[in-house]
Amino acid sequence: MFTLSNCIVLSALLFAIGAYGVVARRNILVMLMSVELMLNAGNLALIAFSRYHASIPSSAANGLTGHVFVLMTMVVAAAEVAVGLAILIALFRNRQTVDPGELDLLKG
Amino acid sequence: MPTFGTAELLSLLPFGCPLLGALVVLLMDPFLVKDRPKLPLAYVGLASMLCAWASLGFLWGDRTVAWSGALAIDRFGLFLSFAIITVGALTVFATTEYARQAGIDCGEYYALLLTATSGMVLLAMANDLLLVFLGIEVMSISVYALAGITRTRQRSIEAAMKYFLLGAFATAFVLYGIALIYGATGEIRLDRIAHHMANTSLLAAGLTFLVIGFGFKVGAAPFHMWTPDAYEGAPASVTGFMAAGVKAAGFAAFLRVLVVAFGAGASSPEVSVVWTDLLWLASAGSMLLGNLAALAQTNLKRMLAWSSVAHTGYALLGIVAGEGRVGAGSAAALFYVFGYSFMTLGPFLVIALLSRNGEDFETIDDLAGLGQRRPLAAGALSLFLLSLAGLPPTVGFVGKLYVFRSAFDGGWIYLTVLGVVTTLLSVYYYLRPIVLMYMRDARRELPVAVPADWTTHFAIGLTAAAVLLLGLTPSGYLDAALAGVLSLR
Amino acid sequence: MTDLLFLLASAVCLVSALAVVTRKNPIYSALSLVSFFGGLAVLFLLLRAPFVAAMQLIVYAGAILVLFLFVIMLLSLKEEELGKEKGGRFKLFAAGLAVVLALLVILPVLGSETARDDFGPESALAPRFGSAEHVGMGLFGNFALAFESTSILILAAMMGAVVIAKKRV
Repeated sequence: MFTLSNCIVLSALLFAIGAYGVVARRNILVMLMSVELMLNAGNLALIAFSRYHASIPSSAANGLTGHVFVLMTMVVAAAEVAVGLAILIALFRNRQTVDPGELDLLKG
Repeated sequence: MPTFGTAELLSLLPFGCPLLGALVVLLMDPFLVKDRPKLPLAYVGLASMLCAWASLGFLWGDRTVAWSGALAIDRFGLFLSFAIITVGALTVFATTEYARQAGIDCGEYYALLLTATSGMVLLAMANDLLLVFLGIEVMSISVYALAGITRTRQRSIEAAMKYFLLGAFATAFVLYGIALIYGATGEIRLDRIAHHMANTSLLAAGLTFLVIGFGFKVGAAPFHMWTPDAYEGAPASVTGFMAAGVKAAGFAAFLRVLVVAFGAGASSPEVSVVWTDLLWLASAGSMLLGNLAALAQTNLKRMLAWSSVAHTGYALLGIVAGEGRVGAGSAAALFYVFGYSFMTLGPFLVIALLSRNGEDFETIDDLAGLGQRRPLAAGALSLFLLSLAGLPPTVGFVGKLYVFRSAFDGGWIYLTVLGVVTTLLSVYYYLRPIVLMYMRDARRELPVAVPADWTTHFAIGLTAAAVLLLGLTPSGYLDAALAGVLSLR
Repeated sequence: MTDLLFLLASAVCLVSALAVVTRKNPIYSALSLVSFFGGLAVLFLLLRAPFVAAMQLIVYAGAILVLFLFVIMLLSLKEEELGKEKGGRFKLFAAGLAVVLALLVILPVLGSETARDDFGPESALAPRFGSAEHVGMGLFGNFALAFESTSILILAAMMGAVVIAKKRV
């Protein structure tokens, strides 16, 4: 049960759920959380592949790459959330909305 | 534990200098007199860019790698870094008056321009997927903030929000693609991925995700939907920087990843079929959609945004024609991006020059009569538009010529025909503003020149000179582009 | 035992991920995100990544989630200020897109005939694999430049957040 392919299938499902959230939802906060789901799906795949490669002699030297990558992704996610929420606060001050559907000043 | 020496320290210079400049700018800002133009900050920014520029010349030479192979110092990265740093330097130096009037003349504006440049150079030199990912993020996060920096203007913050949402979405695709590529090969270093016998189907899936993510970042159809809104809403100085710098850096990483890791010489050649198929579709779509949509625009910034989608299509055509080989096609794409970064920066600098008090001078009808009132600005804008249309004797003509020729030689006949037809179509919307500027009388009061604005004039002149020079004597730069592509192997 | 834990953690992850994208109130979404991060941390532990699992809880559940909750409280959205959700047909389109994305990965994984079904034996792993010490050697060794360049990222994010969210010039 606890196999590499199952882990990757799980991460693909999580990625798809996140993508659904970004496309389907009309609330910027939830869309941002959905992006977090997608990034975490990537993290899961990286860690699973790391575990796999670390136990193969030919690629054992690269087993650590996934772990380091995930730590970097966390930094990226934190930075993105900080800037994204700042933009959202500025937007809410101007427009009192968190609905991307109401952002219609720029059209054409 | 690897050991690091002088080579590592020197390799930091191209992106370390702008970073240092950003820190100095931030430290200086509180000590400057309020309500006065912040020229000292621009000078510090410019100085750090010039240092970075000099370091490019110093590092120019045969390919070496530093930092355990994470960073490649080769002619390819340095060539595009040259364009990126020039664009960054011109933006930092030339938009002080615009920034003052728009109320964004703060230390953060200059510092964010500098960190964005730093990220772009990092992206152009990155030799492993981790650094590609981080470079994209340093660049994107700085530019999200810059797009919304006039935060009291609703359109600016709306542009930032849309750009951010789609950018973050794209980042997730890039990350997932990288994860799958790492899974299939066990490697993230580009040159090692190429020599790795891999699980091809997984690798192809990863590459698809990566191409989708990059497609968002460079604004290729069908992932272009953020481009018009972000370009229109962001302040003009930032839009120029985005159009030129972000695109150049994005294409640098795109081209390097495709040629080095998934090119014709890689051990899984089937994979290069995957991306060629994806990219020729994106290229055809971008050329068609970008040019058709640009025809209908009444806003100059928005028209230029759609035209940038179209130009992404032409650059992608070069990549497709190259098919991942280190040859003429890839070199044509590289030269195209190099030239494009100058000819697209120009119009936005002109818009910044003509804008007053934070309201961008941006409807095409406003341009009427500009030819008599502001002959220099009108002349420069005409030159940039002619170059974007691909007419001689400008760099736009040379770039398109080489892209089309290599596509034709590569057997992509239909795509070449489509490219030529859409180029002819585009002449209409590029010529319309020129006709208005010279043939019509002004409908509204045109802004008069501000004497303090000599930096913007200077930068426009320099950009115009670059567009002409690259168009008249392109051979040296074409050779450099070819040498750049050859240095990838 | 491992299988059972894996099943349990996967179920928690999937259910809370679905809850994140379907709850109307963003507070419930944020709280579902907590259990999602928790489930993921368990998976990381099973995959022999203890340091990353700890970081996952500290950074995501500790910092990022608090930021989300903080902003939700700050905005204190009323019912009518929540976004107008699109109709069923649009959701169907989004779901179709998600299925295509998932299949794009799942088909090659399940279709590959190479020996990708199992992780290698635990004994093949380096001693103390995934510990803080082991990951730290990587961070300051082969990946030193990437580690250092995150400082540019954080600087840019900090400036960006301050300059956009501050009230007056």
